[in-house]
Amino acid sequence: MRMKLILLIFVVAGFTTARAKSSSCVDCHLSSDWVSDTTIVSDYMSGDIHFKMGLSCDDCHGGDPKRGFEEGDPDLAMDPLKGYKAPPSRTATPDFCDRCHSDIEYMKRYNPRLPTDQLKLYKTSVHGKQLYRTRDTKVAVCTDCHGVHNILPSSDSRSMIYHNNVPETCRKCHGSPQYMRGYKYNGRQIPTDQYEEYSKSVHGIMVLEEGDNSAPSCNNCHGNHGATPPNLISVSAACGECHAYNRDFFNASVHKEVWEDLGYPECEQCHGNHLIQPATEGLLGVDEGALCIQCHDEGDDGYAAASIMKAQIDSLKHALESAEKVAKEAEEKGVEGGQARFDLGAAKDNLTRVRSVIHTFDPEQVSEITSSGIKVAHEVEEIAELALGDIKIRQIGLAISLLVILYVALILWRKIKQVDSKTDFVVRDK
Amino acid sequence: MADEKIPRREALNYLLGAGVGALGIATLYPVVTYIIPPKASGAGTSSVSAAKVGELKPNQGKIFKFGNSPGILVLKPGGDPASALGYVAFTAVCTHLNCTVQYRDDLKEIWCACHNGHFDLNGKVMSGPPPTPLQEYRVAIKGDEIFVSSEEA
Amino acid sequence: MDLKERLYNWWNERVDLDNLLAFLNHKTVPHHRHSIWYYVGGMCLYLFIVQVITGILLLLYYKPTAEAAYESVQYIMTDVPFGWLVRSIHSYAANIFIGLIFVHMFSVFLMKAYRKPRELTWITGVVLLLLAMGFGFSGYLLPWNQLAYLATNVGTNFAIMTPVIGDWLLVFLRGGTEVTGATLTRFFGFHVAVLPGIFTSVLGLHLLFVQRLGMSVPISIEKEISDGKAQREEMPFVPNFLYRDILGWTLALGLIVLLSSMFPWELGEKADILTPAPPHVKPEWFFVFMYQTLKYVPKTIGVFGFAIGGAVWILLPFFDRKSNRGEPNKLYTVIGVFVVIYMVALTLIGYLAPGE
Repeated sequence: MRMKLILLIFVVAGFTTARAKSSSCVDCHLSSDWVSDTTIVSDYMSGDIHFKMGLSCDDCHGGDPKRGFEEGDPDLAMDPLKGYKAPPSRTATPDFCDRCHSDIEYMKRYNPRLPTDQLKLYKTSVHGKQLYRTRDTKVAVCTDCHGVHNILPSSDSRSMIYHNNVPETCRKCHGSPQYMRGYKYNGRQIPTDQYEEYSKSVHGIMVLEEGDNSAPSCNNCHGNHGATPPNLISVSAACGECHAYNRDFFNASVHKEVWEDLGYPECEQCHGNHLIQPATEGLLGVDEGALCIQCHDEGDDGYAAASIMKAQIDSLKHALESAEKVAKEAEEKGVEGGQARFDLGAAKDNLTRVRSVIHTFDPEQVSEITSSGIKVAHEVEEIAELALGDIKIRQIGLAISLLVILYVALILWRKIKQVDSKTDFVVRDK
Repeated sequence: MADEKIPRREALNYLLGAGVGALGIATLYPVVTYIIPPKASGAGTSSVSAAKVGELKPNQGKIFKFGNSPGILVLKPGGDPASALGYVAFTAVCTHLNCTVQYRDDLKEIWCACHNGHFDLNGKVMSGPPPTPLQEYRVAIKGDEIFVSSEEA
Repeated sequence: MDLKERLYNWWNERVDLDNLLAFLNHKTVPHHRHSIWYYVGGMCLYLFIVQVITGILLLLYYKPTAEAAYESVQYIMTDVPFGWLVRSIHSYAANIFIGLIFVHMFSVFLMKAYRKPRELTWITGVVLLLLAMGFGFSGYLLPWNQLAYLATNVGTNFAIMTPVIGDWLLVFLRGGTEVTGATLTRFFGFHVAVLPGIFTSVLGLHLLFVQRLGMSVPISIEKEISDGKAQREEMPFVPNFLYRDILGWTLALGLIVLLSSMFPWELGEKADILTPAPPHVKPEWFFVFMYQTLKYVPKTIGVFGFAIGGAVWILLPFFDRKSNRGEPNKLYTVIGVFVVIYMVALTLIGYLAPGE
């Protein structure tokens, strides 16, 4: 505690000498004689990005703190005539921030890479529309996600908008049934179980449990300032940000048009949304649990295609497993030096590829990949089998050497008989 | 009796001599061939001969076996085939889903066919799903062989 | 003078071949119904030489580091011509070698050949067995496969039971507190430098004693001879005995080559230090009787039991007064048979018992 205080004083001291006119706000707002809440200053100075960039209170709030301080009159410091702006209301907040954040020239001095169109985007979002059209103050404004006097950049893992913290930040409102009561989308009550579902999904587990920020957070699909759900035909665009091949294959497939006609939400129709699970081959085919048979019935083309593609992938998997087993055996027996298993890598690639190519829903394209993989797997298995069979070649050499050995043994045996016949073993007394 | 035995004894000795001689050859043959080292360079896990100088033209890549996983050696566009500086080498195992990457001379990039991952010639991800760069290997030239080693450069 | 004669003379003038040949021509070995056991020792010597030769050949390609050991053995077995043969012979011969040393020891024990004046031959012989087991233990780890790694973990752990210096001994054996690449390098050193040096010296002494004292004739045969029921028979070492030796060695070579070709010694899976040990790890077969015993008795008591038992076993010639006087000693025969049965039984239990 004392350390912190000393540090604070030190920082304040440095701050006051550097920017004398600003010191006056701090001097009063740090003193409980003047204000009831002294944490605003310490919050701000303990790492707010604006503080780090050298911005002070009056850069946002205006006023004339120097004169106010010198003359001991807070009203002078916070004189609206001198440009003082009180903390904005929720409806005024976006415009308050926008004064600087939309100013390209101004922002360039601090963070040239930061976009300046946040407010514009915000106004297109569900949040922004609510705020500006119906003056609904329950919707998220800048400070709900970014904080007020403790704003951290998105790269800071403590920030509310750090990739892995975003689900928790959105959940503050979207996870509360009371808070969300009455909010509708497409005429239906917006659910509040998105976080719960997401946290059990393949993406959520990566982000929330494994801390892997390469998996998507809420904003990767829904946007951030322009937050809005992807509509039916933009789902594949959202997923395709990462799953690019799957998107391309799907968009070129027969399903694309059918999906549009039926009003299916593209990827989501098969894979779900927040509760998305790792895809397996079980989704494909005509067996129980497969998705194809939800629409396709026995006898139609799709049904046949589904069962063919499933069979192709299954036989590739089977060929891989079998080759792997033989190759491993050959290696452990010491008759093969690992080349077989190395070569099998190409066939494994094909399995990975076909899991993507399957989104063409075209048995021909699928079989192109699977059959070349199966071919490699069979070749490898053959090589490994041959290596195991190498023992046969050794056995020929063995037979020859054994013949020689037995021959020598036989002659030795005769020789022993011969020398024994001429030896008298009995020891006669001398 | 005695006259008969001497030739028989000598005959046995000759047969024995021939047998021992054959056995000696049968033993020495494997030993001698064993001592001559096979052409493939000795088992090594930290360094391996990836190619011969001149085998690659500029803007060309090659997959080689590095231990039990593939590596990729690239002679950079405009690179000097005789200098180690002309080459770069990485693990050829894509950091996304372990597919084997390949060199695309049209793009001058390393590319993974499985999910369209692109890496530049520093191993860094340019686009696509790979989450991390390819691990770089050290390249050295000894005589006319290009050695790749996993040791830190 | 033909070339043969001139060569002989050249050597004779320098190393006195006349004397050596005269000695060899006069050397005899007792001949009786138990004399087949005399060949076992010679067979052990032969196998040792096979081990030295194949061991040196393996050294040409083997790399004693955790990173390269497994791969180098794999290289020997798959890329080097006849490497599989050399490595398999080395492995098979090693096991037959240790097995035959046991046979040799118990045959000597049951014939009471250790009795005065051959106490030193016995002691050096038991020391050779212990060294051979050391060879087996250290050599087993060298291919750096998972089974060997785990067995070495279990095996070296017993060092900790040693009073006072237990902890130190463990670190000495492992080259650290755990079995790692440092252990491998260390075992390699034991296997190809330390043990061969000691073994060869003790073997030299053993053979010197055998030569100086000749073969022991069993008490029962001696009694038959002194009772006039049998005649004393001796077999000339050259050529009769030597031919039989060579016949045995040739057949042994055939057997080992047969095994090596039909069932090449496996390589197994590369050792992975991070894999936790499964519960059914077994040491090499010649340690199993001890390992199995330690499952039934408290570890400390078991280990001390074997240490004391081993010491008594080595010093037996000094306790067996009756045999030293040339009288039959039933008690010691019973002890010998009991030890053999005990070892065989526990080894079998170790391999066959369910759930082990």
